Amino acid sequence: MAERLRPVDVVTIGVGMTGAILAKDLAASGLKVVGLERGAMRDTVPDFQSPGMHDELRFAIRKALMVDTAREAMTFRNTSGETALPLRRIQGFLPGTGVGGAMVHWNGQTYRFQEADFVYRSRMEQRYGKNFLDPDLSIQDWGVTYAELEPHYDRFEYMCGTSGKAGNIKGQIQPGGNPFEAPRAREYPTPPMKEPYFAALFRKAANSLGYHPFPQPSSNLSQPYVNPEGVAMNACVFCGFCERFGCEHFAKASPQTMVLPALMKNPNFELRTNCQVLKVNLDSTGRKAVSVSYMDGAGREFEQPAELILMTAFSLNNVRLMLLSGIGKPYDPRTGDGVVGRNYAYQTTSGPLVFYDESVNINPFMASGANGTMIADFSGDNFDHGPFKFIGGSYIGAIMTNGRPIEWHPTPPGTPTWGQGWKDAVRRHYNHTVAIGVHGSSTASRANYLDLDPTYKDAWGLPLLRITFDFPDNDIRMSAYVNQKAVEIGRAMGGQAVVGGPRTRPYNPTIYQTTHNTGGAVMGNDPKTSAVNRYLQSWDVPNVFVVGASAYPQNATYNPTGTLGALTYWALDAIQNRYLKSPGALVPT
Amino acid sequence: MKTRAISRSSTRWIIRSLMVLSAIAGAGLTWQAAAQNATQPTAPQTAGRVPDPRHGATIVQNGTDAGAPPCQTCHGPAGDGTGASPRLFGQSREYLMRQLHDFKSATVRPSDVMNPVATALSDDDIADVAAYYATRGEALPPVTRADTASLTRGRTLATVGDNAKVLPACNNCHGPGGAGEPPQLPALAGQFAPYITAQLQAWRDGKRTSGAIPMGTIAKRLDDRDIAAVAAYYQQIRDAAPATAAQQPGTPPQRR
Repeated sequence: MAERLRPVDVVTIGVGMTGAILAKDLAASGLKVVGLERGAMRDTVPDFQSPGMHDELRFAIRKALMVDTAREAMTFRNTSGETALPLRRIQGFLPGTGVGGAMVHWNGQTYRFQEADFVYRSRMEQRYGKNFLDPDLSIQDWGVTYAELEPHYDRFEYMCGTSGKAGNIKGQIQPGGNPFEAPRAREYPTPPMKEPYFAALFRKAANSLGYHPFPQPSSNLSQPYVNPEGVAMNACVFCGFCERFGCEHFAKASPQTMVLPALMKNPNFELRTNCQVLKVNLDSTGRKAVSVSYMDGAGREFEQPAELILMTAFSLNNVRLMLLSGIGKPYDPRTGDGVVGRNYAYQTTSGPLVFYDESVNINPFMASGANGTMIADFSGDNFDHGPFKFIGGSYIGAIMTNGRPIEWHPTPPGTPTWGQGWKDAVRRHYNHTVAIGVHGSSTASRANYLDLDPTYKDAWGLPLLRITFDFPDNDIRMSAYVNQKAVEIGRAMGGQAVVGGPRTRPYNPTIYQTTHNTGGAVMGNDPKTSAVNRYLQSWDVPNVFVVGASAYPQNATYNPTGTLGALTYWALDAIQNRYLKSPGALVPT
Repeated sequence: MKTRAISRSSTRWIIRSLMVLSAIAGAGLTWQAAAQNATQPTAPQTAGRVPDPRHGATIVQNGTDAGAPPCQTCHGPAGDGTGASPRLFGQSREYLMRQLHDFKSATVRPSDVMNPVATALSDDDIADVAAYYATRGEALPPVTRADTASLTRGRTLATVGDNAKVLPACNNCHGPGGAGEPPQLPALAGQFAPYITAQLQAWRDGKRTSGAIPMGTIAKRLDDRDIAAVAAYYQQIRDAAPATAAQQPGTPPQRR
């Protein structure tokens, strides 16, 4: 029998990036906030310190910071005709667990989406005509514009201390930045990181082909910084242990380094770790959430009543909890009806390798997760798609996040996969190879969605989330086009050989591509095609907000974290200045 | 009480430094004058030249015609140091070379003693002296009787860090046990406490600008007790003192 606890004002389900940001300001405004976190507490000191944190086998291969798949996982299949099987190891993407969530082990690439990304369907139909789009694509507008989000992007970047070079300040193109970026109000809070040699090789080649290279915006900082909360951060030392690791240097933006110090000292906030949320309970009308049921680490079940419930878990878990709680109508791929689980998208990536002779020393171990140089000439709608049969695009860049010995061993085609021949090739190429990243948009389609698995259950007896996904034809064509551009840049970089084809089907979740799972509880202006309104508020249960990349109607070219930060502050603004003053639906249905 | 104890030891150190300084000044008016007149290095490091530790040994023992005094006057023939001067043994050739180049500028790495010395050394001299000292040394500094609380604080800062002060563990960069991360980052294990103290103070006060970016930031977050604690802790480390093999180019750092 669940123990019923004293009511509080707000519960956040998950204390990662979105949960910590929302909890901090809501607790500061005087509300009693409880943060329920399924994982453990961890902080820069002592948990991320070396030499323990540089254990590549433990953290990068065995994923010590990720969700424990013996207790909770997802099932996967490529198409709805197949039977999904559980992902018994975390490989294709890296959902976090524990305080700070996935932002503890991210790479720090901090982008804004472009203006066209937020009005995607309107812009595509306007520019290329209604018949241009593949009929199976279910892309749509976000219900919020870039201009509305700009102040919130700004706030997030200044909380992170992001290091970068503006390309467009209030419409004025800035030399050295990304000329395609949407206008921003001011410069980045800190200057870009130093350009490593591999990135300089890329810059030179991109310039020679007439493209517009710029330094990647990075939330691994180029210099010490104190954010608006008074939280101090340090400069990155290029140790090369970002993604899959916590930063021991206080140099990577994460809840631990940007917001937790301010949050944890507020007595209005209570953190409860090792608490697995099972369900959000609704009242008899089904229109109001009354409490959250969870089980603690000792197996005791509790019911926590709250006035306002914030789903702030990883995107996939937000969707699963909505389905488990009966909030919103589940999506049905046969009829196209329903919204929860709809428009799940990913990211379309590829990565040519440039092999050099032994006179070119890359030193890949001197690296940061977001250090690199790239071009946006083929991102989003920055080029005319008229001659092609696809929409969307990719950025192309030299971003080498590490030279870690277990993970970085590029070898050219024809190399034996084991034995002396393989070892010789690794030795020959380890320090003489540049990886080019091609990171592209993912269009939503009717066939890709999330629902509850009919067979497999987690350690608490609840059905796992089932992912049904394969790359749409549109994205396969996009990848073929942009990857060829990347290969051309690779050739201009002067290597001996450039190797690496575009993305092909089927999607394989056992090979790491990106952690950018989006959609499933998408935002919009039409309750028939969105699970939450433009303020990330549930259409059906207005005292539930679902704050995650689950809200993206489709995924854009760029890494999604910057946009998620902006959406979090956008939702916070709506909660503080509109919802709390008059609780109820912020957008009439 | 503790603050006073520290200031006493600092005073002792300053007196010892002054004694060494005056010894050098007395013995070497000529080299100092020569160093002041010295122009830029006359023998730029020859491309592809292999550093010559035997020539380095000559400089260590006899100084140079350009006016550099014998290094062993302060650092000893084996680089063991004295406390007023740092222990050089255990540092990589590359690290020692960079320090000597940094010492050529009093605004980068100010030192009344070392600025003129470095100015009087050519680039080849620097490479040779560094090659010599990188492979020498035996003795460790004495284990002083720092109080237990101070050593505990020092060990915490060195191995774990301090979340409230946004201080990462020293060993994150300086290697497990403070053994260094050659070739770039110096060993701290077995280094004299007065030297570590003086460097942290110099970074904190903005007098020293050389070295990795974080040191200025980190030093500003250390109070006098922290500096004394971390200096005392590293001086008494015995088991992680680096092996000479770590300084050979191409040899991975040794861990114990």
